[in-house]
Amino acid sequence: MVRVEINGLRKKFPDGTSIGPIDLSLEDGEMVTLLGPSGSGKTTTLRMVAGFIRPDGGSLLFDKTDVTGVPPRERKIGMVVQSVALFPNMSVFQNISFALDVAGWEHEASVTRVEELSEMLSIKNLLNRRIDEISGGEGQRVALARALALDPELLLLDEPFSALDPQLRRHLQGEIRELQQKLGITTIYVTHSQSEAFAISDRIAVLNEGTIVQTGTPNELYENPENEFVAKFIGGGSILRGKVVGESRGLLEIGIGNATINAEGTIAVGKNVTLSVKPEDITISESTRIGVQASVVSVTPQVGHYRIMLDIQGQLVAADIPNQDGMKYTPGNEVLLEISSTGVDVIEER
Amino acid sequence: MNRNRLVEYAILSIPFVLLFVFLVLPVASVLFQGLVYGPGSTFFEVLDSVVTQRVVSFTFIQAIMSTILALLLGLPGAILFAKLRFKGKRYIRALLIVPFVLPPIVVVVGFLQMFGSGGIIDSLLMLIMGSQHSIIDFASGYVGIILAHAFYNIPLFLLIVSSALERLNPEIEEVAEILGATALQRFRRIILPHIRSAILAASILTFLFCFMSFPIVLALGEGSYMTIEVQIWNAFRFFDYGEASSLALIQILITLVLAYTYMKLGKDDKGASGPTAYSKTFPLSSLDASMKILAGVYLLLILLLSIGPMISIVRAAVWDPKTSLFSLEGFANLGDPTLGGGFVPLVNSLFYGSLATLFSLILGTIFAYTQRSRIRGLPSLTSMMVLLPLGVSAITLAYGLMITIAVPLGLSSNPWPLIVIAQTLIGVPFSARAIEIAMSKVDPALIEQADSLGASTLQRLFFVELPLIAPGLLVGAVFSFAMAIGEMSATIFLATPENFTLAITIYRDLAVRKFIEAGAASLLLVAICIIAFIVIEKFSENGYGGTL
Ligand SMILES: Nc1ncnc2c1ncn2[C@@H]1O[C@H](COP(=O)(O)OP(=O)(O)OP(=O)(O)O)[C@@H](O)[C@H]1O
Ligand SMILES: [Mg+2]
Repeated sequence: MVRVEINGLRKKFPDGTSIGPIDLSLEDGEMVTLLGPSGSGKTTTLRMVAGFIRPDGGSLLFDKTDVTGVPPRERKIGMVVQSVALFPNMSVFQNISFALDVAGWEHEASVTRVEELSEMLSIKNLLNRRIDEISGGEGQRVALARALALDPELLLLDEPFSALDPQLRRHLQGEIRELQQKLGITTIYVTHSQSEAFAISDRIAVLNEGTIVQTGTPNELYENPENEFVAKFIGGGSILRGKVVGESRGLLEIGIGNATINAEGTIAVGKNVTLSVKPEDITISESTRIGVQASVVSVTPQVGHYRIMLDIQGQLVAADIPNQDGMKYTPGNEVLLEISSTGVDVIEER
Repeated sequence: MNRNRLVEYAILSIPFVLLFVFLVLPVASVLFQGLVYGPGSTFFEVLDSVVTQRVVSFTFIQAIMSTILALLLGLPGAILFAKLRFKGKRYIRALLIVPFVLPPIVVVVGFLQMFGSGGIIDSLLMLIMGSQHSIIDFASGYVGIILAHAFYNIPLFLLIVSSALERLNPEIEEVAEILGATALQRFRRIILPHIRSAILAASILTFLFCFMSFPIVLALGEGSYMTIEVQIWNAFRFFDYGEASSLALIQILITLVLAYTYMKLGKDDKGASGPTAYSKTFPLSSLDASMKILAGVYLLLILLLSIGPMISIVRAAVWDPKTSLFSLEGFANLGDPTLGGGFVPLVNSLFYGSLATLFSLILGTIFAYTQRSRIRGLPSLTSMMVLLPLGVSAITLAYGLMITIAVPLGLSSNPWPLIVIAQTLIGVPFSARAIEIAMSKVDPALIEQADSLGASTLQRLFFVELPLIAPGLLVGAVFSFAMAIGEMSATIFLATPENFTLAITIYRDLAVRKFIEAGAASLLLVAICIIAFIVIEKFSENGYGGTL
């Protein structure tokens, strides 16, 4: 496949927002995740690599050749964009075969290739559907098949699963990682979810306010965060997104959908925030009627405790519950959580 | 059902009753009387006649050709305006759209002055070639009619197609690009399918307008080119009610099919628009030299065709071709209160137009309201009723109003209320649409608040919603007013000399070669329309594209 070297790519938008300089290199066959909160420049970076945004400076090398002047369609890139962007006027089959058609493939060969891809992504039964007749998860698979049709050398995935429910998302994460390793395709994966990044990456580049603040393997980031942002953003906790809705008794009240979580800090009411909650700071309350409503998504036994994944208003958090308690829960249970306010880190989103 | 509800239903039903009495009933009775026992030709005689066949085929052919020309000239513009950014784009685009609100008869004056024999281009050519005789005449006959129709309808393509293009999720095109599609392939396989229904919608509207065109064909066709509408008018003038009704029936059947298709199109427009973080435009400088030249030539051509006639009206207002002198006589005529002078028509135009605007706003508001009603079937009945005036021949309507209302009520000697009614009906589709758009933007939370305060639906409508939709009302008012003062077909049918409006005076002045009088009156109408347009432009936030 291809080795990618991003050297000091940067872009300043007319409104003054500036992204970069970005430095990042990917080994052949490596999967690197760009992780960062909303607006941190993930999509912009990806679009510079794809060639849709002309960088103001820096260089971009594919296997040591500078591709800065190469138009997107000659870069041999497969891409799944944030909005999925399936072609609405075409069937699933036509979507997948689009690249083959414009490359002038024979019909027979196209059919064979599309069948192979749809087999690989288990969407064979959808080929004749119109794209408004498939679900969100199926749409993501179709978009992936479409991106892989011409055997690209580099795969760019922009939050491909952010709109899906947690179970399906984790399922697809696993699939995509497997596929990527099988094909050995160099991949840049974009997400704002820490757990997703940890689940599938060889290495993670953490972005904040337009620059990469640390790059490393999940372990390195977890063990040796180089700055406060990484420490807070990674810190072993689950990442939740919410909004400051009030203040009481010296604590912030942070709304996550209908639920409220208390945390320490001084951030103005109305601001959007990212929370990091450590698994050991969550307990499932037995007696009280107050607490954060959540539903159990999965229960996994680990050494000394159970790792329980919980869904709070559509966002996923991990809790570590000691053995004797943990075994009581099964997926689907509705529970109330107590989250200790000292265990919650809050970062204001810009 | 309590009393409030009853009152509410009564009010909501007003526009339906009015449209039934003043539109459906008159037209139906014309058809019925003409076909069943009217004097003159029978339906089959009309169908069989060579004249009818010639008129019908001319109507179709000119409408098709005008539509194709408007499409060819409008489509590049729509793409250009959606995709490129350049200095002054906003103003050029706005200028190109003005023609749509101009009265047809004013367009005729502008065309004669710009492209006609002895017009600006012709005079220039004569000067260059040193010729004493007129060299070109693009403002009469077939060519004139088609050019004028294209001029009129290019804005439709610009508006409808470019707004569809702007709704295309730019990531879709990017995906196609990264999958290897060239610009041409992307256009053919992604963009064209996406804008197909917009192109079709604009084409149908254009076809419809050209199909029913009256003043332009009457004035430029010189009696030898006639659309069905013109022939209906002729038939009435020669008292062949059978022929008039038969033609009106043929025309209505065709327009109903088109209108139905148009409404259908609006429903299945979905899919490609997605959440878009940015809309993608390119600077002019990103084009290569040949494309830049092409874009430049196109802009020049389209400006010449669209703006030329408007500017020429200034010359028409002060240049007297009979004396070959500049003069202000035309404007003096506008202040002349005697019979044949321009003052009475001016007052009539303003008076009828204002009343029509007021009524069409009231009807439009209630219609906009019923359009959002939860009562089953009411919204679709509303959209049908609202579009009806667009699909009915104005001449037929006028005759219908004459026989069902004026004659029984003894209004025929001074039928000015009917003129107001006809002009009101013509404005309703536009006012209802503008107001409905404004209403759909009102924050539902605010309306709920009004509910919880115990305000009844009607109080809510008048005290809470109306102030909120004031900009929409203004746009609707201005649109209705522009339509009303430009209306000529129904008005010319109904009016006695004391009811003449400026539009009619212009037509009559042209016929007796009082060019400068026609020019001055036209300039006044253009000025009114441009002011109207500026108001529309200013107050419709997302552009007026949606108003159509
Ligand atoms: N075309 C543009 N013009 C101006 N600013 C832009 C443009 N595109 C992006 N930006 C700005 O650049 C910053 C980074 O945007 P980007 O889309 O890369 O963020 P992101 O990390 O992908 O966020 P998200 O997780 O919400 O997708 C934002 O502040 C955004 O508003
Ligand atoms: Mg993004």
